[in-house]
Amino acid sequence: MTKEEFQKQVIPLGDKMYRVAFRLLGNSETAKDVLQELFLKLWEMRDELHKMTCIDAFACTVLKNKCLDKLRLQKDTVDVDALKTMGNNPETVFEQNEGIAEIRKLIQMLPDKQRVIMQMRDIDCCTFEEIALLVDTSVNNVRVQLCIARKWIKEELVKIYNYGIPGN
Amino acid sequence: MEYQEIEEILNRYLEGESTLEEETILKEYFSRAGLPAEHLEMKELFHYFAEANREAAPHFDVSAELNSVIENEWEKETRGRFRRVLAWTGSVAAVFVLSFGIYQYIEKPEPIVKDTYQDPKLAYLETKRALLLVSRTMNRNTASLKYLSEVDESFNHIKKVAEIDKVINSVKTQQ
Repeated sequence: MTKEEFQKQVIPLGDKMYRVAFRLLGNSETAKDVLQELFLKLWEMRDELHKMTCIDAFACTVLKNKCLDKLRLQKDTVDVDALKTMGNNPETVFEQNEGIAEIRKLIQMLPDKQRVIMQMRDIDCCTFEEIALLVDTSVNNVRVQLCIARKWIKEELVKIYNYGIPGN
Repeated sequence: MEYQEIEEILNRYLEGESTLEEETILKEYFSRAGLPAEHLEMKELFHYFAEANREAAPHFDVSAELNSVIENEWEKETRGRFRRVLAWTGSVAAVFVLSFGIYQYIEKPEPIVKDTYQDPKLAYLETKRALLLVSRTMNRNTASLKYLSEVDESFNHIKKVAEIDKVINSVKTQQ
């Protein structure tokens, strides 16, 4: 793969990869570092990339491993349930809208896996395959978890709208 | 987009079966004003998604950043490659020069004609002397060659023996 091909085919993945890294790490600076590391790695492997049917999926796998490495370093423990930290990013600043604040609360109430899957799909627009790779599960399970999360959020929202009571 | 169609996509969405394209349609639909009352809570949810998407957006120009990282690497590699080529051609040239030198040293041909005289007059005299020597030696040696003609003469006498032979043969045939 030439430099031009790399710039045309691989670099456009950067935006989504950054979002995923940010989602997994909850910190924009670390996400930027991981993003650069990921693209350096992809650049080193550019001669093998054209053989791959899906560069996105490969990039996702490398990105996930790099993020897990970072989380392990941060936690200073070997085995950490990375999903717990995912999506709980502290850099949330907008709360001017009450409805949005309510939904944020509801999303935080979801089980870890469901929350991350929903955020990756509905906020970051990842494909089912990418999410499956990123959270170590099957595409089918991603659909199932997404279905449960979406339906629960909708029910809770209906409750709030009808009776003004958030959560359970 | 018709209400019915939106309802269908919304159902697939809740079942986790909608595609990204369909979800884009939903996002677009729920960003509109004046939606039916039963869609308001979903409008709120999609509004949250849009906000959260903006919030999670990179705070820097991702493409520019990555392009500069790659350009940097590219430059480093090209410089490295240039240096490698330079080193390679350099060593080839060194080997070439060295082997040429060794060849010159070993195979230095002896000059066929050696100019031993600087003064043309002296050279002329020397040449003349050499030629006289040759001629004198030749004359002396050809003098002894004259005996060879005597051998020739003796051979002529022997020829007569062959004639006797011829006579005997003719006598034999007459008988």
